[in-house]
Amino acid sequence: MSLSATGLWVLIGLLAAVTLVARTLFLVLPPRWQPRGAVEQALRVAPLAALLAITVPEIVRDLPLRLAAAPGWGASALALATDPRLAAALALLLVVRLTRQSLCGLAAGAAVYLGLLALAG
Amino acid sequence: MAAWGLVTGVAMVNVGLELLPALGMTFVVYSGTSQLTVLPLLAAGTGVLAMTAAAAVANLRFVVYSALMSRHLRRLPLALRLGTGFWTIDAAVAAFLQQQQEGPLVQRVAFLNGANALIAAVWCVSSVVGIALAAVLPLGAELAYIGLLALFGITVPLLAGRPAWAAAAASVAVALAGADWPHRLGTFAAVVAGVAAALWAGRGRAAP
Repeated sequence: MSLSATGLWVLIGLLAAVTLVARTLFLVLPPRWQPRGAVEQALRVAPLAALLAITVPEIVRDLPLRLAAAPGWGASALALATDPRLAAALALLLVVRLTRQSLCGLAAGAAVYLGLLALAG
Repeated sequence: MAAWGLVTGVAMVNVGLELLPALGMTFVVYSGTSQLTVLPLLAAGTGVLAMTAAAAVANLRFVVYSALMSRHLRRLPLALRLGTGFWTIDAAVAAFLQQQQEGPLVQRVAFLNGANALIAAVWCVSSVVGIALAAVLPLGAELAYIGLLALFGITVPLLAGRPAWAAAAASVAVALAGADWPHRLGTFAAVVAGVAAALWAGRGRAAP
């Protein structure tokens, strides 16, 4: 890391300013700039879209490599079923849909993930 | 959130940040997105302005959140609006939309800031623990992935109704296509695609 102590604190100040502007932009704009009607309704899915955009690429991150190393339908199916990341996410999805409890889902997902990792050595 | 805080704390120390700047990042910047975006750039010796620009792009989804929250917060005094907006992040917005969209303003703001306070406490404490114990914590990709699973768990209850499913499909497709785009532009594009898909899927429906 080549940044000086002063440069580092300038960076911290600028990052805080960026955070503040991004998170409050529409909160300080005049009312005529605020979203309304259908646009406002559609914006309600923004957290869902963002969280999925952050998580799903990481969940399927290892799949291309695993599938490339497993030619044929049977091997590919096995590779899919034993991918720790994918299996954990599917277990979490199933448990949350059944129980409506995110924490139970997380426990199930973590157990499947760590279990498959342990099995894989 | 705790897992992400720990991982971020450890990552800051591993990049070479000393105690005070690492605490500054945690408490002043208060943005895992910004922190995790600039850490590799910091290690590579990138300039301050370039790192700031990268963080600004990575934070674009929060602009969408501010538009979403403006209906609820616009009648608050400016200082309270800025304070509430600054520490409102993904999980708090998601919880707010699930639990507390209606009701008196004071109740909605109290719910949002209660969620924010809890999330901020968990984030900051876990980051500090990560900073303090970076040398001894056996942290690896496993913990980071469990943190990611926790985020995924938040999304599942939000999947209800045609607009939400359309948004999810569009967002995932764009996120996968843009997974390698620089500065997390793929995430922002996925949010825009998700909102556009929800707009399309919900057209002709009356607002609830």
